Amino acid sequence: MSDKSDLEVIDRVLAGDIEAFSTIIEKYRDRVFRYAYSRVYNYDEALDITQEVFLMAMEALRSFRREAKFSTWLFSIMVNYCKNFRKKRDRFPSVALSRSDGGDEFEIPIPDERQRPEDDVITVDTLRIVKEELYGLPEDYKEILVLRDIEGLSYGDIARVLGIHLSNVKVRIHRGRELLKKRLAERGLL
Amino acid sequence: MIREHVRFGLLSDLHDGVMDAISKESVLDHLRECVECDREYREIGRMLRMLSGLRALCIRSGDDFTRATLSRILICEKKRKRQAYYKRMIPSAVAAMVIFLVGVDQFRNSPSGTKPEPVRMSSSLGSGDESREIASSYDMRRTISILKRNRARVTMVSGACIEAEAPVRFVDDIQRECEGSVSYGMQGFATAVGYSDGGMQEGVAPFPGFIQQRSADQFRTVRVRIKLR
Repeated sequence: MSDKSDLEVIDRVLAGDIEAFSTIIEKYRDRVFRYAYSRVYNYDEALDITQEVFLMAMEALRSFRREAKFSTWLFSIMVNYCKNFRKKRDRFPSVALSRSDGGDEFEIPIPDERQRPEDDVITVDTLRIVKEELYGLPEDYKEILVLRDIEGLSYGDIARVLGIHLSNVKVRIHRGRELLKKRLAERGLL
Repeated sequence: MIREHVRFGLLSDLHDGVMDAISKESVLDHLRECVECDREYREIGRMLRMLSGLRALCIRSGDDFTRATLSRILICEKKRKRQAYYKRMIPSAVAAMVIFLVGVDQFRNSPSGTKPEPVRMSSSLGSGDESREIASSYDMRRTISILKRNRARVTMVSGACIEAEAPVRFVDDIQRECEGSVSYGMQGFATAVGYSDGGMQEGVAPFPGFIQQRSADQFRTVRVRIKLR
């Protein structure tokens, strides 16, 4: 669904067809969830955050000025919400944060295209190690790699979502990838 | 062509396709010659493919996430609409209340000579002589309040008069309070005719217009009619 069709759905929602918002939820729920999961490393909390992000987006929908893509706007809400969530949770810690603290592990389903013989052999174990090493990166690098290399946002969109300069985005991506590559090499994946 | 090894950042940019054409050509030329940089470039590519494999992380299908979220949204929307309605209504209600209170206050404080113009109503009771003006709804409420305070049961309220059944022993109090009202600048506020069960019998009026019939039995109830002007 292109951004144009996002706007059509938004028009319907603003005209009173609230149920049409389910199209938006269906489209973006996994992307928001993945980002939230990378920040909290806990399935249930990530699910709660995802739901809250959509509630906030719905509430603020009238203020969406259509200057940027809807996805960029939604991801801005997501990033800010996660930031505040982390702050709040750090103030009142109750759940383990890092993998060494026993963050939850849920199975990563392997999509069919990953099992094609001509593809690199990326097993569940490989993905688990990649996930561990990615989530073990410093926050700045982790969030930017999730947005760029998993969610596929452009450099410009990342700059808008995170509210940082484009050159800063580039630098963080380089450093994040370099560090991750080094760690994956140490784990024998590269 | 670049002679030295290519920096990591450039290889990363090459993967993302964010290099200008000239730089891209130089880097690609170097990669054809330099095994080390070429290996680095391929490893970055493999890492990016592994990262993209994490797109498989998603919400479990059994969680019925979309429906649950939509339900919450619908509830929140209802709440928001209700709040918006109250938000719109509260200023109007406050304004109405302020106007009412200011009006009451002005009425209370106004000297007898400058009493606000009464609301004029034609009486639906009696002959032409009984046609009276009702001072205002405030007068009427005040009179009813006096009656109720004195154990009277209001039986009829019209634009011209109020009728009530009051214990005989409280008639004096009703009368006194009516006088009090008069002394506060509401001359002619009320005229009353008291009559016993035997029919209307006008008595001596302690102040103009207030006429009562008192039974010998102080515990009996009499009907009192207060005419408003």
